[in-house]
Amino acid sequence: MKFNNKKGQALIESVLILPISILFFIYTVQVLIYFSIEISIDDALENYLLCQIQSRSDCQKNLNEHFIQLKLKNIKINYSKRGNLYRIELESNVLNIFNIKKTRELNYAKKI
Amino acid sequence: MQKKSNLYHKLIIKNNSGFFSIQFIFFISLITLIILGYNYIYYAQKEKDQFRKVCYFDLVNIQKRLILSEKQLFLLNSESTILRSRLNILYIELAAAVASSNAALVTKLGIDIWQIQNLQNKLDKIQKLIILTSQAQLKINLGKLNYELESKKLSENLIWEKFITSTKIYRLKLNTELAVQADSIGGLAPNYELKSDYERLQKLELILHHHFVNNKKNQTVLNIEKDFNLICAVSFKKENNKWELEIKQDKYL
Repeated sequence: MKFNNKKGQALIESVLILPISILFFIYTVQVLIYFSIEISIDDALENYLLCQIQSRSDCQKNLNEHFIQLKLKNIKINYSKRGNLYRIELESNVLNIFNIKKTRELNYAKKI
Repeated sequence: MQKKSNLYHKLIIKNNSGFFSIQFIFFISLITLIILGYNYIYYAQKEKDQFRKVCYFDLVNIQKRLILSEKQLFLLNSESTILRSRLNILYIELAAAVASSNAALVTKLGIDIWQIQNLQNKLDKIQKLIILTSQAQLKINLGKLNYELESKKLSENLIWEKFITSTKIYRLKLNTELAVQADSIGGLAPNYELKSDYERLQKLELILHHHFVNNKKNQTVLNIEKDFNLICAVSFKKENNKWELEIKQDKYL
C-alpha cells in the first residue's frame, strides 16, 4: 500500500510536470528564435545604414534578401536621410507570432 | 516476504530518482547547448562589430586628420601665389631699374626681393612642416591602431580559449602617404595640389581573415567552424571644393 502510493505520487508528479515542461520548452524555443531573429534584424538594419553611407546601389536588394531568409511578413520599411542622420524604421511580423518594430539611427558625417 | 518487499522498495526509489535524473539531464543538456550556441553567435557578432568600428570610425578618423592637414596646406596656396606674383613684379621692376641705371631703385628693389624670398623661405618651412607632421602622425596613428588590433586579438584569445580556437590575421596598409605634390611651377614655397592618383595613394585599407572553430578539447557536440574575410577601404574624393569620404566595406576579398 505504501509502495503503491509512491508510484501514484510519481505518476501525478510526472503528469503535472510534463505539460509544464513541454510548455516551458515550447516557449523557450519561441523566445530563442525571436532573439535570434532580432539579432539578425538588428544586423541587417545596421548593414543597410552602413551600405547607404557607402552610397552603394544594392542596399535595398540585400536588405530584402535578408528579410526573405528570415521569413518576415507584412514588412514596412521607412528609410530617411536628413543631413548626416541616417534613419531606418522597420515594422514586421515574425513567424506569424510576434510583431517587431525597430528603429536604427546613425549620425555620420562623410563631408569634411 | 519482508526481504522481498524491502528489495521492491529500493527498486521503486531507484526508479523514481532515475525518472527525475533523466528529465534533469535532458534540461541541463538543452540549456548547455543553447548557451553554447548563443556564445558562438555572440562571438561572431562581436567580431563583426569590432571590424565595423575600426572601419567606420578608427580608419575614418585617421583619414579625416590627413584631409584636414591637406586643407591646411592648400589654404597657404593663396599666400604662396601672392608672394610669387609680387616677386615676379619685383623682378620686372628690377630689370627696368637696371635698364634705366637707377641705382637707388635697384638697391630698394633688391631689399624688397630679399624680403619676399625670406617670406617664401618661411612659408616653405611651414608647408614642409605640415606635410612632415601629418605623415609622422599618420605613421603613429596607424602603428597605434595596428598595436591595438594585435593586443585585442591576444586578450580575446585568452577570454574565449575555452570555447574557441581562432586564427585571426589583420593586414593594415601601413605605407600610406599624404598624396600632395608641388605644382608644375615649383620653386620655393610652391602651390600644393593633390596627386592625380590621390585616391589610391591615400587609401587606408584593413583586411581581416578570421577563422574559428569550437575548442574540441572541451566539447565536440556542437561543431562550429566559420570563416570571415572582411575588407575595409577608406579613401576620399575631392570635387571642386567638396571633400567627401569614400568607404568600402566588403565581406569577400
